[in-house]
Amino acid sequence: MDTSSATREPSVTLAPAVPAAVPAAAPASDRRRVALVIGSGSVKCAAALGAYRALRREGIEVSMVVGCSAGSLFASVIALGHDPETCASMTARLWTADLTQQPDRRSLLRAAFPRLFGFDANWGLRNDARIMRRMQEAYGERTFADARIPLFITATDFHTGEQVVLREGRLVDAIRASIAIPFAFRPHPVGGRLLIDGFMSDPLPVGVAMREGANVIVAVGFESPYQTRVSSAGRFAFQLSSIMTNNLLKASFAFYGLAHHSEVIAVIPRFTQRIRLFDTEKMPYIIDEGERAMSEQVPYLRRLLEAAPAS
Amino acid sequence: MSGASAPGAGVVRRSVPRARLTDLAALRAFVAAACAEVGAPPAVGEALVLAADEVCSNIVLHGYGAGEPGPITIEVDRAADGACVTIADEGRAFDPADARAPDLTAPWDAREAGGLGWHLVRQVVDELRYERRSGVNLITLVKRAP
Amino acid sequence: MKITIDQRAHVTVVAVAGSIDALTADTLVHAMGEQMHAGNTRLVAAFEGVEYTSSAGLRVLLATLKEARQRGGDLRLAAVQERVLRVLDLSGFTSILKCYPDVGAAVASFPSHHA
Repeated sequence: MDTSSATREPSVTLAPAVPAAVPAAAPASDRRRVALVIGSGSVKCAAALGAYRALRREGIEVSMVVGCSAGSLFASVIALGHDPETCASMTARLWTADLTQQPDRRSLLRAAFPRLFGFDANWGLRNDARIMRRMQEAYGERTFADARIPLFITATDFHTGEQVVLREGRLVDAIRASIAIPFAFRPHPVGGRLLIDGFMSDPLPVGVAMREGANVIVAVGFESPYQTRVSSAGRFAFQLSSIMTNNLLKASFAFYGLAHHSEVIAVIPRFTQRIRLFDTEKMPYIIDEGERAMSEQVPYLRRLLEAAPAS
Repeated sequence: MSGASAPGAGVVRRSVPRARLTDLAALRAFVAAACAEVGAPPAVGEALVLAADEVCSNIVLHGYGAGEPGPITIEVDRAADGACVTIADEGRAFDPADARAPDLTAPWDAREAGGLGWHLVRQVVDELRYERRSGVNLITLVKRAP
Repeated sequence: MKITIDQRAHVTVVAVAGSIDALTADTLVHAMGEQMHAGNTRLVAAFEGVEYTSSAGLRVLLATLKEARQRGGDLRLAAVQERVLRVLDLSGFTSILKCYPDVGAAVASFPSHHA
């Protein structure tokens, strides 16, 4: 339990959401709106905020948001109706390197001496008290019902490996379950199931948008980085999971593109700098690159939407 | 359709001289029964039925194609604690490795689900081998017990 | 293979019995196509009687799914047998379309008003 309060915790209180511009008429039919899918990728997922900024700038509405892993953080602030700038400042405060610096000291003992200290599915190397506190400050008791745009967050059932789509209940629980990075944060129980990071069942859950009736889908996703130095058991395990999930990402994405009745547009920003898991100070750059990558697709996106039937 | 014969100890074989799509159901039933006969667990039989069905469908539709229907011979043998199915035909040479993969470069509204069949075969079996010998295609499918 | 059509208020239930393979798939794809051309784009494929499907069946489902969605409807599955569900899972289909334990649940999943 983290009891040291020597460091001042940044405050991430959620300002009441400024209502999104109230449309004069009913929202455009779903055919003329895009679904936004934000996959795993830690801080790189902020590029989705840039994509969202580009869409808003172009007057293109979002019909639903699907978030996986860190993507669920960005998906939820967008779905709550915040403008891109508010989304950016909120998430920057949530996702910082010190999140994973609190080791769960008993965990190491439990791993080394399982019988003595009790090892079970509820195991993680890092203490999640800090992230839970920050998320509580940011999201409070808000639930999916508070989202202005339909929101879906994915996690993975620890026991069966199946993808679990969360669409109700408290946002903090869904997000915490979605980013229960294996080996780092312990699995999180939600609704009687033990859940781990969504990226383990599907790093870029385009299928969820398809099932929920999306037409044009904009997908922002990243490959999990490969380790440059494998200097610990944790890094070794991470390398293995990167290999598996990157292959899963490519195979799934290929299948979705083939099976969808409309277009799936992949927004892949080009980063010239190396971005590590928690490089939050690079967020403005990441967002700009996301906006640029989305803007490149806007002419094509417009043609697709204009060709769609009005209802 | 010729009956089942036992060419060698423990091997079960069935031949269809002029295979048509209407023979698929019977071939599936044969593979299921043969896998059980050689002692493979049900999950193995199920997988091999699916894979063999795909292979035979391809033979009828593409191997012999629009020409005269030709023979298909299936042999089922024990393989470790699973089973091995060998399918022979005299149609056009067709290596599963050449099977058309889904075309992802096509515009989204023109993409076809080609290659779904072979993808499925590779998913369900442990080994898939192809050989062509004296004008005969030989496909070997192996599935071991889980 | 036997196909039975049951028109509910706002959803069409297509009950299939038998095996779906390269021989029988054509019958199914035509039956589905007929419904969609008649304007019935909210489809439930009731699979309680389907004991087996090959990739031919998957192709029918995919083609029907895409066309139904293009026309503003959807295809959902009901009462899929375990063996068939395994094939759907293996080939990624369960991640792109909705499956329900029974026809009632599948029919109820479609909104009763026209979107």
